[in-house]
Amino acid sequence: MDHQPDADQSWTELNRLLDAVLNLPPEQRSAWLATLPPEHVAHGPRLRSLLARSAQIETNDFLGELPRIVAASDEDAAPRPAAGRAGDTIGPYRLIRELGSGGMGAVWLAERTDGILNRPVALKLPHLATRHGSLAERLAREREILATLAHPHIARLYDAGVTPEGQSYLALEYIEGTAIDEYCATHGLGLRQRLRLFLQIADAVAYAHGKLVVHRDLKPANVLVTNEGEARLLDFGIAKLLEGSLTHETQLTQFVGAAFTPDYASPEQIRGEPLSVGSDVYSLGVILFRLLTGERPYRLERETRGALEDAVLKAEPVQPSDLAARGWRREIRGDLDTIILKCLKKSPDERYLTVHALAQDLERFLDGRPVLAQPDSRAYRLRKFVARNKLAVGAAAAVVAAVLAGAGVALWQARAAVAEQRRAEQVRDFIASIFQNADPFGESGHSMSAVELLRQARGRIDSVRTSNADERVLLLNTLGSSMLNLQDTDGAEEVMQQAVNESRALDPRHIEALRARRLQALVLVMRGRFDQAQHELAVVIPVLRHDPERYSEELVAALLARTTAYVRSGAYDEAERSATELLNTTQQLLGERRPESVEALMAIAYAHNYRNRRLEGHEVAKRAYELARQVFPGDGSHPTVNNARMQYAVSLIDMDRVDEAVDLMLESLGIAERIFGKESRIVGEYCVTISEYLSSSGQYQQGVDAAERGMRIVGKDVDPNSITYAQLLDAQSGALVAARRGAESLPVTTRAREIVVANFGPTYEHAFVLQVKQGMALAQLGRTDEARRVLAEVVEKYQAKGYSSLSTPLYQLGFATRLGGDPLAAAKLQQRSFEAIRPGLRAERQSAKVLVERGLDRLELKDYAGAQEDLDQALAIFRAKFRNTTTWQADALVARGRLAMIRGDPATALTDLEEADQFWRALDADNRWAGEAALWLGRCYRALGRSQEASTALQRAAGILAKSPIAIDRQLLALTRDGAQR
Amino acid sequence: MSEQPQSDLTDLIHRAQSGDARAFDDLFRATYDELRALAHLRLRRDQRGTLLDTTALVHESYLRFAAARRVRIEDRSHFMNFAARVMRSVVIDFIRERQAERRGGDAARISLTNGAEVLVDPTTAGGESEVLRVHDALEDLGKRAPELVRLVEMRYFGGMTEAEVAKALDISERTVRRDWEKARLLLAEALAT
Repeated sequence: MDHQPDADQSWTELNRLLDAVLNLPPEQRSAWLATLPPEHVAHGPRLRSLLARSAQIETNDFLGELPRIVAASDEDAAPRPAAGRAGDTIGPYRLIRELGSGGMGAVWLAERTDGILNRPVALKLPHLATRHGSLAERLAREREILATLAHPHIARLYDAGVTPEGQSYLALEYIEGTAIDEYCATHGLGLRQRLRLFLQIADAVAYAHGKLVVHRDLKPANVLVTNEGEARLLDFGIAKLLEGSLTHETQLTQFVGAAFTPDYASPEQIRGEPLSVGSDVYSLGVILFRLLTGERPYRLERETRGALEDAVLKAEPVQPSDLAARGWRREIRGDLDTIILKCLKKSPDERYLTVHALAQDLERFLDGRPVLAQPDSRAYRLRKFVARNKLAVGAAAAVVAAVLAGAGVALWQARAAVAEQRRAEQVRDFIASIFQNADPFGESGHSMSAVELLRQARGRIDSVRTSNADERVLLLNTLGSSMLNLQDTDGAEEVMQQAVNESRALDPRHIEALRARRLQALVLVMRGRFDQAQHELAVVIPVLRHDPERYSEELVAALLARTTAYVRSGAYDEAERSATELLNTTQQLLGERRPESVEALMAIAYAHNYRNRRLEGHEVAKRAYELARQVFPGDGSHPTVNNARMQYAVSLIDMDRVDEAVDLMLESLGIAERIFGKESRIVGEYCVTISEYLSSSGQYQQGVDAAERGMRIVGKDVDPNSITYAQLLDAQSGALVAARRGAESLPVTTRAREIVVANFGPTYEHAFVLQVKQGMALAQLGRTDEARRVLAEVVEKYQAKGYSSLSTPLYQLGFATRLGGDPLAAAKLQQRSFEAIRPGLRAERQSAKVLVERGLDRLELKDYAGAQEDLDQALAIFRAKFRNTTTWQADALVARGRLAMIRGDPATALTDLEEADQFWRALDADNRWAGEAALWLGRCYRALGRSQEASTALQRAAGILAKSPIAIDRQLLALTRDGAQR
Repeated sequence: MSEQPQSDLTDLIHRAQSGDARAFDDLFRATYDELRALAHLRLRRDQRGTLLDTTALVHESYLRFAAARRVRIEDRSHFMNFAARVMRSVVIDFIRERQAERRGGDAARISLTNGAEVLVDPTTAGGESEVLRVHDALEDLGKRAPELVRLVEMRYFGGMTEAEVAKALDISERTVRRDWEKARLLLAEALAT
């Protein structure tokens, strides 16, 4: 321990200052820091840096909890009480031989020393320090009660106690037999024989319940079957009396150290809640499940206790008949399934309330009489189907289930009319069949997408046996609606046409008829036939408005369809009005947390954005996204959530939160792949959008890849002379130019511009945007005269038209001018560019880029102070605003490195230059910028006397720069050779 | 571990509190074994891994001692204070053992997603190393501000509430809050470097 009086003093002061500032509420702290008295000012930086973390530790709950620590071995050297040996005396018993040992303790064959009982006993010796008086008392009490459990199928508890040394013991009837599951297997018992055997146990447990004793640890190992074929239930020794509250439960478990096996444990046991008859029912259910199928009820992805516990608590059990041996499946399916599953309900109230009831239903089954247990409700079954088949069909099924549930949500709610119930059942069965019969690989041979799943279902509608027109229309409507949700317009179009046709057989005010028309209107909207769609809706909406209570859901849906039509047709004022009405109506009739509210908000956000009200648009998009996540909880893969996310992400771009936006967009992309398939059009469109933002956030290769992928997917279905194709080319060229791969970009940009000009003429603004990219590509190629000409033309045009976005073309022109070897002119251009920056959220980003160029120009003009200022400012912005390093930042680093060397400080230069060099080597090692970075790095090494590294770097630089078409690079090439410092 | 006469733990605690190093050692040893045994007992029950719930362990060890009449009830807070420190040792030792075990070549057990047996939660390795780093940082901090270290032991390793800590250290809850923030800021700084 160091004893530095200064250090100690310093710490004491700091400590006191910390106390003082931490006593203040957070808002007042920075003010306090700003007014530190002179004698404490030295502590300022440290205090500031400490306090900077304050918010973070709160949000992350730093040190709030100990992290999870897992035991990897069960060979923990736990201190055991002295293991017994044959001949030892425990209480009134003498040990004969060990029968086994487990988590709880050891079990010995033993006999009474006083010869009172001739039969040997099974003596259980729990591990545990038992200096607890309370345990002994408790055991004594229980012994009284447990000893009264006299039943032919229960192993008697004779005795229980604690030795003076503190060893507790339980003396049980010694049974020779095999565990029930083993017994059934080795003796090849048939289905009915197993049930009869099971009934013996059920009888025993019911009897014990009658005496207010709960077993709590029912499992095959505790059910032995003797050679005579009689079942015997063991281990009522840890059973607990049913008393008022069972809060002492857990402590006793801990004291006795009894491990319940999660395989057979009920959900409430796992949660450590008070136990009752119901948990024995559950365990019996698991035993029965195993006896009839040989398997466990839950399918696990990982064989860990955690996964098992999760499954018991949350997952739906597999249907027994699905796992049973072929010959038994038919017998088990139906009533036995129902009985077993009833035992396995998560909530004890839904299970058999008594074991007796369970036994009776089994008796009924054996007698061929109808059982009392009812199969599950529709919603429950649908969830179960999905849970089961999710394993087979994957994420697509989850999406479809979410979508279907949304489409048919009204169906699952309790409805008074029986007729409606029956209809609901039809739909349920049909939908269930979608999952049951799903071919996991669909037509395309890839794993199934959600859209394909529904298309498959379409083929099956005709085989639905029903004579009622309204049921058929209901089915068709449900399917069509789901397809629309997944943007499968082709599929929906077909389905809705059929639905509308068949709905002519219904009363025109029947809800399904109205729904069919509304859905068809939506199809029309998707096809761009807006007027026709509005016409349809104009007929439907008044009818619905006539009785809003009855038609509430459909009315809201129709208002949404109308809003969608306005949005897509670009009628943003009407869209906003319609969306507002939608929002209010939804709230009034159905509540806030509805998908329709999400859609309404999204429509309003679109309206704002198209009117350039970016901030409002952002706020509303955010609200829409948050609401969407509440309305569709889970992993956010519902299409509506995904759309809302994408919209929100784009709005973040406007707020200059590019990195966040890109993260969200990538998330959306992943989900879109799952929903629509990796080669789907919508995924292609996402790629095209995202590529631009990837590039501008410094992920250049990813940007190029995304643009290429977009082109590949979308381009194949698009006319190569169309504007859409030009947009695809534009995205590609943009990504390439951003990565400074001008050579590859030029042909692409040129072609894109040709298409645009051919379609709209040379003065169309988009043509100019492409012209700018052309200029950049030319500059990167070294054709700087051409580049300057092309870019100057754009600047002129923009000025003439009074466009406010002058800054970018001026900046690009300046860039090309510098590469052409005229830094003076370039500096003037950058000055103009700087002044032309539009105020707003994205101004800082733009100014950083311009400052780098101006700094580079000043450097060439030997205005070192000016250059330093510009570069420092630019780099500060980069560090603050950009998560990733960008090409502009690399430029700035090289320039600043050069400045440091000019000042005669190569050591400082080294950091910047090495960073720039690494950046280029990772991105594009043959690029002339990589060469330039290597050049200056090499010279820096030379200045530092690291000649080996210097030669390597300079050689690398020479190799690259020799191939460069850019004029100034010839001078740079010379610098790789001459030894003079510059 | 030798048997101790009843109620002497209280005495030991008081002496240890007032700085009697020998009393501290005795006390540590007495409770360490017990707490360790408890921790292992917990883990033995759970063959496939569990969260080491140190809060429960600390509370439970108190109950045991109280039940065995080795600690008088009114000394609960002092006991908790002490037990937290012991718990820290138990946890650290435990983690080190696990790490040694893993390094000792049972590679199959560490296999994360492909192996059938996943015994190591993928988040565990990170969690465990965090605990070790906090432990090291606490060692450093202890040279300057041992009272803060006690506080962290009680909150982080012992899982004690603000009220319990206030009682054990005989300070106000407000001070506990402030010092907790101070400790966390300093530790966050230490862990960031």
